[in-house]
Parts: sequence; C-alpha cells; structure tokens
Amino acid sequence: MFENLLKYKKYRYLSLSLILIVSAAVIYLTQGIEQPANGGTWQGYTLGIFSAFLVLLLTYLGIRKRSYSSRMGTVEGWTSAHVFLGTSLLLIATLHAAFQVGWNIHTLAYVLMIAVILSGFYGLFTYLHYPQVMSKNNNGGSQESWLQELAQIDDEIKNRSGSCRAEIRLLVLSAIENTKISGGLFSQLTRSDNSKIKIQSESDKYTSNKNQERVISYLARALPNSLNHAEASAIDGILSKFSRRQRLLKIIKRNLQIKAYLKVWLLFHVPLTIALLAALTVHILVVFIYW
Amino acid sequence: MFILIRKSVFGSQEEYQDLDFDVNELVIGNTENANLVLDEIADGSITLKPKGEDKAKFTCSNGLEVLTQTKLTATGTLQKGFTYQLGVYDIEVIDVPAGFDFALNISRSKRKSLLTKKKFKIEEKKGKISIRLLSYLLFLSILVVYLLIPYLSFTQSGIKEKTKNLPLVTDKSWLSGPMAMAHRIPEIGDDCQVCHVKPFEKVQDKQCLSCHQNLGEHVNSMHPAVKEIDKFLCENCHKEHNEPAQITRTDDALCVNCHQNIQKYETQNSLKKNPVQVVTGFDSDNHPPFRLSLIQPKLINGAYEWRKNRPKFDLKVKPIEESNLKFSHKVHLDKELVQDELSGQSLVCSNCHQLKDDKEHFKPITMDKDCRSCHKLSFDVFNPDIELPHGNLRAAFVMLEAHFIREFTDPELRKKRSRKKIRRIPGQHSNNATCEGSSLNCGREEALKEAQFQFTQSGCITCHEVTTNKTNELMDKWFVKPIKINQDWYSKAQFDHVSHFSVRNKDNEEVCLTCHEIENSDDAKDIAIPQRNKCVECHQKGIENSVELTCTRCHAFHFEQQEK
Repeated sequence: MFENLLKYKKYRYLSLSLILIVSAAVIYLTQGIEQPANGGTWQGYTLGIFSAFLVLLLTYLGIRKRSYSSRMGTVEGWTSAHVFLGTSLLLIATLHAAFQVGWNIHTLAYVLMIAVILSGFYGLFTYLHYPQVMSKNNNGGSQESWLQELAQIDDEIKNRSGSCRAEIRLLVLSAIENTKISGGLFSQLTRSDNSKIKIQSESDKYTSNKNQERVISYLARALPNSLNHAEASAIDGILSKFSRRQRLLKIIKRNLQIKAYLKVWLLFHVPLTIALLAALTVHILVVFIYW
Repeated sequence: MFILIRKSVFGSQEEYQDLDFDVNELVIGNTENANLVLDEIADGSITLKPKGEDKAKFTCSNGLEVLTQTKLTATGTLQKGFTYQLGVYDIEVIDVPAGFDFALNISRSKRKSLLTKKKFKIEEKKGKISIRLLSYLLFLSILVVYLLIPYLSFTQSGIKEKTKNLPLVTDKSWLSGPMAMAHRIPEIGDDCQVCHVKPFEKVQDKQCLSCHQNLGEHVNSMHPAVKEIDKFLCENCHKEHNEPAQITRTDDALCVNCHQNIQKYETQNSLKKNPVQVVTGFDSDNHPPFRLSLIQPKLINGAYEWRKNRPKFDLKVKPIEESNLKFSHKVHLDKELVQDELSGQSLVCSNCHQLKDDKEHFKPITMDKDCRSCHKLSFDVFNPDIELPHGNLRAAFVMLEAHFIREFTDPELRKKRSRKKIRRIPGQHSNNATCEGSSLNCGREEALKEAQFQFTQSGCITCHEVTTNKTNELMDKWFVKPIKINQDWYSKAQFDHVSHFSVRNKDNEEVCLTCHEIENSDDAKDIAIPQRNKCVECHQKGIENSVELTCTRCHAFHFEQQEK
C-alpha cells in the first residue's frame, strides 16, 4: 500500500512537487536586484504565502483521513500529496526564508516545520520498512493468535500445576499473573520486561522474572526434587510450556515494539504540527505588526 | 448480610456450587483473610461491599485488578447486567434468591482474547502522554509566549515596565533580521518602538527624520515644478533588517522607476523651461550626455561674483572654463621645457593635482603650494630673494613702492646697489642700479616701471588676466581679475578616482591622460573633463567584459543642502 502511495497515479504528486520546487527556485533567483533575497521582497512574500498554504493543505490530511464520507479525493491521494508536497515545502520555505536564521519567532516556525517534515520522513520510513519486519516476525501468525496461544498455554500451565505441591503451584501462578508484556511507550520501544515473580520459599518480595528466566530456572532446579512421578511429569510439562511461553512473549514484544515504532513518530509529528500552526500564525501577524 | 456466591465447577459452564456467607464485606482471592479462595489467582484479593441488591463496591489488593467493560482497575463498582473479569474468572451480579441480600456468579472467563490483551496491558496503550493534550499545550504556549506577552508589552506601557526585568520573551523575538550597524546605537537599543510606533503601519518618515535631521532632499519638494515627490517614504528605498545588512537600495529601478517617465513628476511649465532628461539606465542610448557644472564670473556693481551654471549639453557649443587663469598644460607637461625640481623628470599630474580624501575631488591649486617653487615673484634683480605678496594687489603695490623708496633712501643701500653688476636675464626687467632724483621720486618711479613690467609684459600677467585703467596712479592703474578654478565639474554625480587608477600596465599618469586629454592643451579655457562617451568605453551596458554601472554608483539621492 505504501509503495503505491508513492507511485500514486503515476507519480502525480512527485511531478507536481518537482514543478513547485523549480518554480520556487526561479522566483527565488529573481531576487537580489532591489535588496538581498529575503522574506520581505515580493518574491519572498510569494514563496511565504505558498508555503503557508502548503502547511494548511498538509495539515488538512489529519482532518480528511477522518472524514470517511468526504468525496474530496481519496485518502491515498491525499497521503501521497502529503508526502511529496511536504518534501517540497522543505525547499520552498527555505527559499522563502532565504537561508536566514536567528533567535526569533520566524526561525522558530521554520525549525518546527523542519522538525515536522523530518518526523514525517521517519514516519514514511517506518511505514515502508516495518510492516515487512513485522510480517517476518509473525512468520504467518498474528498478534491475536500469539495472545490466544499464550492464554491457552497459561490455562494449561494452571491445569498441570494442580498436580504439583502448593509451592510450585503458587510459583507458576505468580509468574503468569505478573507477566508484563507491554507497559508505557518507552517500555514498548525498548522491549523492556518488567515481569516479576514471588517465590514464597525464598522471599515475600517480588523479584524480576525477565524473559521468564527465573521461573524456568526455578522449575529446572525443582524437577529433580519432585515429590513423586506425577509431580515430576507435571513440572516437566510446565517447563516446556514456559519455554514456549518465553518464545511467544518475545514475538509479542517485538510486534509491540514495531507497532510503537509505527506510532511514536506521530507523538512528535502531530504536536509539532499544531505548534507550527501557532508559530506560523505569530510569524505572519508580527511581520505586519512591525511592518 | 447474607451473600450468595454461585461458582461454576471447574471446567464446566453448567455445573455450579452455591456458597453462602454472612458477612458485610466479602473477600475473594488468595490471601489469608479470604472468605472464598480462588486457586487461579496467584496473589491478592478483591473485597466486595454490596450496596443494595444490584451493585457492590470493590477494592483489590496486591496489584490485582478487575477488567471492566473498558479498563483494568483496582477499585470501582460491580453493577448488575455487566460482566467483570478477575484474572481468569468472570464475575456477574445476579438476581438475589430469597433469603439473601446480594448474589454473585463466578465462572471461567469466556473473553479469552480480550482478557489476554487487557491482562497484559498491551495493544492500544500509548503511554501517559496524550498527543492531543501535548498539541494544545504547545499551541497555547507559543501563542502566549511569542504573541500575547510581547504584544501586551507593546501596547500597554505599564505591562512593558513591569515585565522588563523578567525573563520573558520580548518583541525582540519578532525581529526579522539584524539591524544595520548604523542603527545599533544606544538611542535605539532593543526598543523596536523607536521606529515601529503604530501596529500594522509601516515606519513613517518622521521616525527616520527624528534622527536624520539635516538630510538633503533629492529635489525641493515644495517647488511648484515638482509633483508627487513627497509621496515617497524613506522606507521605499531604505530597507531595514536585511541580511546581509543593506539598508539602501542600489538597483536601477530605484531611480529609473521615476526617471524613465519623469514628465509625470514635473509640471508643464518646468518641462518647457528646463526639462529633466529621461533616463532608463547607463549606456550611450539610455543616459543623456553629462551636463557640466561650470562656474562663471559675473561683474556686478563693480564686484566679481562666481555663479554656478549647468548648461545643457550641446554638441555645437564647446564649453570653456572661465577661471581667469592663463595656463598651458602642454608647456608644463613638456619635459624639454619644464622639469620636476627634485627628480629632473617631466611633471606629472599629481605634482599639482592632489586628490582629497573623498577620492573624487582635488585639493585647490594655490600659488604657494603648486606654482611658487618655479614661479618666484621676485621683482628686483638686485634683491632676487625678495618676492611680491600674492593674492593682494594693493599689498603688492605698497611693497613695490616701499622697497624701491627704501633702496634709494639709504645711502648704504644705494652704494651697494650701484656697485652690483647684474647680468641681464632674458624676460626679466632690468631695474635701475642708480637714480639721481630724490629717494621718493626714484623709488616711486622704479616701482611704477616694475609694475608696468609685471602687469603688461611678464610677471603677474603671465598667469593672470589684467585690465589697465586710464590713470597714472599706481594703485588704480591695473586690476588683476580674480581666479577661481572649478572644483566640482559634475556636481550631481560622484566619482572615485582611486578605483580607476588600477589599470593593468598603466601608471597613474597614463590613466589620468586616458580620460583627461589635456597634454596638448595650450589654453586654460580648455575643459578636459570626460563626457559620457568616455565612460561608456568601459561601462557600456550589454558589452562583454564591460563593467555595468547602476545609477547609485554615480548618483546620490540626497543632495547636500546647498544643492537643493
């Protein structure tokens, strides 16, 4: 889908962007006769008006993609235009600013625009790259199926633990109940594992069960000390289930990490866009307040 | 309070067992105080406090949480008609059978996938940061910090005063570019309102003129022949906050926009009398020939005055300089006739013409500085070191008489004078060595003879225009016309001599004579100031390797006050 987004209607918006960039460059190069190139010449105003229009147009994608009944072009078309026109804005706005920067609201608006566009580039990269990575990670499965399998394994572990002594039973239940897959955005991005376990024979406090290592290690040590054959068989079964559980959790966490990658850029892209709208408003107003 | 718990038998949805409790609060879970132990809850418990028959408040311990319809929570209310999930169990408030005050159903959960997602707190959880809230905060912050506060301090002087010492963003953040160096002065500082007085209004001329008080105008805007010049603002030509700083426009359009259609800015009367030429650029087709600025002597009521005149260029009329000076450049540049005192080489232009610091004009030629070293004003061959004063005719006459009277009054001087044998020098008057009359008569007679010689044959008359009156009175017989050499041939233009000296394989002398063709001039009336045709040899527009000139390279907009 996302490759189609770039090739939309035979590169319609790529072509449009190139035309805009060339036109902007020509307009920019006609400056320097009356005064140095800057945003205050008629060429500068032209490029500025066009840049502001592009910012509004690009921002409108956020509204358009939620307007399911809208007949104003397809979302795919809008997104394709968003990508290419956003890229062209990088150059057109730079020419409007005539490469001049300073500690002022004008440069703040410019920097915000750069940040928005760069975060957009990252977003585009994630949309082009990570779906394949996720597909490879799932290897034919899906997050839903992994979660169902995990739930099933948890049930099986609980069933099997019924044949074990209370110490083992409480241990595996604690490991299951205190398995933390996700957490906050940062945890998702870093795939950090805050799973815990309470081993009542050792302490009343929870200890780390990262990657289910602690429970597996405990069960491996408990297996030779089984009270009877039934318990040994049950622990052996539980151990193999935790091993599978460990693998499933890695797949699920990787999926969550990829999903976080696919979303985290929006945490910058959207607020920075709104901030850009504010800075752009101030930029335009103050130019005329101190005309 | 009698509470009924209907608990499904493990692994079956149909079989269940009823458990009754007589408590006000029911604890379910895997803790020591639990009324009902649920094996598949590893740690923690839930405490239920019934509120009527249809709902009960709950509080979980040890990290246990209840999954409601929308979220996982440790506290809340169970309501009849909804299913709540506790670990692997579903909990529902059910109809209360007779004899009980409250009833619950506990069974194995059927919502596996939902359970799993919510249980592990995954999927839709985006962290605690709300994109929408963050967006609103950023939007408002920027508006307040960069617009509201600076604008209020701009419009409300009280606020400005109160906030000036606070670390707030000021209207300095509105600066669209650095100020020109000339404007970085304490009187302006960081106060934008020195120039920007009214919001949404361009900087007015009065703000500029409050500092630039003695600025010469381009033309007299009050003159009846001039129209519309007062419509132009300083701001039209002077742009602040440019980067690189360039406060004045230098493009041709600055001048040509008006001068290509100059009739529009003149009244009909002025057009007839002294029309301003149309200009569209600098080359032989689009720029009119240069108009020389001449100074001409006028004798008004017996007194000389020098008047400026800029005659219209006319090919048929050769302009002359009327300085009253007699001078031959040809003679002075001839090595055979005149050599430099020190080097013995021929004279060069810079021997007499020394550039001023403005690089355009030259220091005035004076007798003492430029002529006297060769042209001594000695008048008595017996006393060649004594010279006449220059520039004061009456003083010269007095000196002549005083000198000769003294020479013939003192017997010792008379003796010395008579003993000297002077060789006659060609072109110089041979003064008398002796005189038989009274010293007064001899002195006056000799003075008159010398003056006669100076003003009619050689001496003063060599360089000066002298008129002779019909009188024998020494003081009134001759009049030397005053000399004034033009210092500014193009008063409406500017020129940098220094930059023009840098010509490959040419020394300064050659460069001078390239433009000022004076080496064969035998008359001080000749004007050797180059015309347009000389300039366009190097500055013709559209020619390869030509240095094109914009208007402002030669012309200034603001004329000096006296040039109005």
